Amino acid sequence: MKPEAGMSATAIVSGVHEGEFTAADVAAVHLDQINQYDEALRAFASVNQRLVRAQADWLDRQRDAGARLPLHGVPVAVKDIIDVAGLPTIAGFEPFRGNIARQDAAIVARLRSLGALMLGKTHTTQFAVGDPAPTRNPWNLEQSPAGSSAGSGVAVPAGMSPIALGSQTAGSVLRPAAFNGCIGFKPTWGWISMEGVLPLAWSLDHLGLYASTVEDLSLIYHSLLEQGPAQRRADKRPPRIGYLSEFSGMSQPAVAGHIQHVAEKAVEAGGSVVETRLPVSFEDLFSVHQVIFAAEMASVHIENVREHPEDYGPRIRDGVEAGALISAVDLMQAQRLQRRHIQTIDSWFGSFDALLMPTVSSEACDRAETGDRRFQVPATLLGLPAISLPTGMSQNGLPLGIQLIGRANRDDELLEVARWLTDVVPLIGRPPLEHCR
Amino acid sequence: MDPHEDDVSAINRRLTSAAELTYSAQRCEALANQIQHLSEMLAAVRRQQLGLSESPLGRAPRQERGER
Repeated sequence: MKPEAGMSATAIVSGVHEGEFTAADVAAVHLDQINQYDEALRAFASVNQRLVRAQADWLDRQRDAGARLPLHGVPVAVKDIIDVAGLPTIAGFEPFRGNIARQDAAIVARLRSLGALMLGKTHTTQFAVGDPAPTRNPWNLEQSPAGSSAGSGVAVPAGMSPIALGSQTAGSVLRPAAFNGCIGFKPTWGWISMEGVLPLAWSLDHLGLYASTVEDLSLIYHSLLEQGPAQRRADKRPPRIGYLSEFSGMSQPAVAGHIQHVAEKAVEAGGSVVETRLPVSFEDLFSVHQVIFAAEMASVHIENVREHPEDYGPRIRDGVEAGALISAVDLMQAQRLQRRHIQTIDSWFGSFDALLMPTVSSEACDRAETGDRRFQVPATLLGLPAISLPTGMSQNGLPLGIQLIGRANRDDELLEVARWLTDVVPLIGRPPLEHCR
Repeated sequence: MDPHEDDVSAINRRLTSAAELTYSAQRCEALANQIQHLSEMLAAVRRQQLGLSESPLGRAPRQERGER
């Protein structure tokens, strides 16, 4: 048996463990996929083939010596705000082009220690804000791949890497997953260390993962936790899902129709789906997020904007200049409200296993924009785990994503609900890539 | 020397200047839109703050003292 592009991480680990193929075979097939399609898709900002092959050879020597690592030979694509030793961290900002990372970020070091193979760095919008990345959507090259984790969100459905790392400060893990047709998972705030990652807004920054199957996400999640493979819930009780139907009214008809279809399928399968509303209005959550985001982003970037104004994209530069006008009093009030909203929603959440709503209000938009971030903001502000599943296609041939939100620190329960739902509503397949050669 | 060269150069200079002004105007408008958006968000935050039942001068719950 030989590895193939698009193979799941679970199948790769099994193949390497069983000696069906080597980590070098896995590396070669994914480098070949990048060579074939990345000129059109521009998912990767940097790939050092020599470093990839050296890692694979080391992993094969480990295996020959008897080691069976939990992620043995699994390629990982890394968003270009996260340090990978030996590769530049550019973050879409030209003055950083020579910044070669000396050390791995904490998450990269951890994944390497579990046997993962760092494939390369993926394009991001500049500093993970709103100026579009050069990446193209694999379903339609003229549509947006979203942002900010555009390259990571494309690398997985294009079969270039089974796993990718992204980050989310507003909606940057979940929205690329929905626009490009893969799974995006943002764990509870603080669960993955931000050490070695360029910050955008400290109290909102999350790292997240992309994969093609819930099983792969579960493999990574439980490997990071140093637990064995996830077990299906013993009582087999179908989940209780709170359906946030108010978001359908804010969505394109195709999106609203699809989320309704998913809710109905979940009921048919025996799930409990109850229409409900958040106990805090969406507008209140969004405004608090926007104030904290802008103030923290300004405090991270204002000095650099003053030094290099012409190297900044217009959207981030405007955002930083506007954010610098926020007073300390307003920021403190927004932070106080954030804590209240976290407590209010945690107390209210108790009767549900997960909340269901669209990931984005629309299908992939024109590539001059990165899409509507509003629906991803509640989980980000509240620090709740959230997952986007690609379960539908629009009439225009573009993916549609649904979002499940879980309770804080109950990420494994959220993955279990996601697994149940993907048994009920199948995930879409991969994009055809003939037009990307 | 082409007698029209000076005219062409002058026109080019004016076009460049006009393009720069248009770009600057667009930048100002984009920044103004950002500030307008933030000002609406700040107003919403202040409205929420006023709606809280407890005054910030009252006894704070324990959770309010630490990080999130």
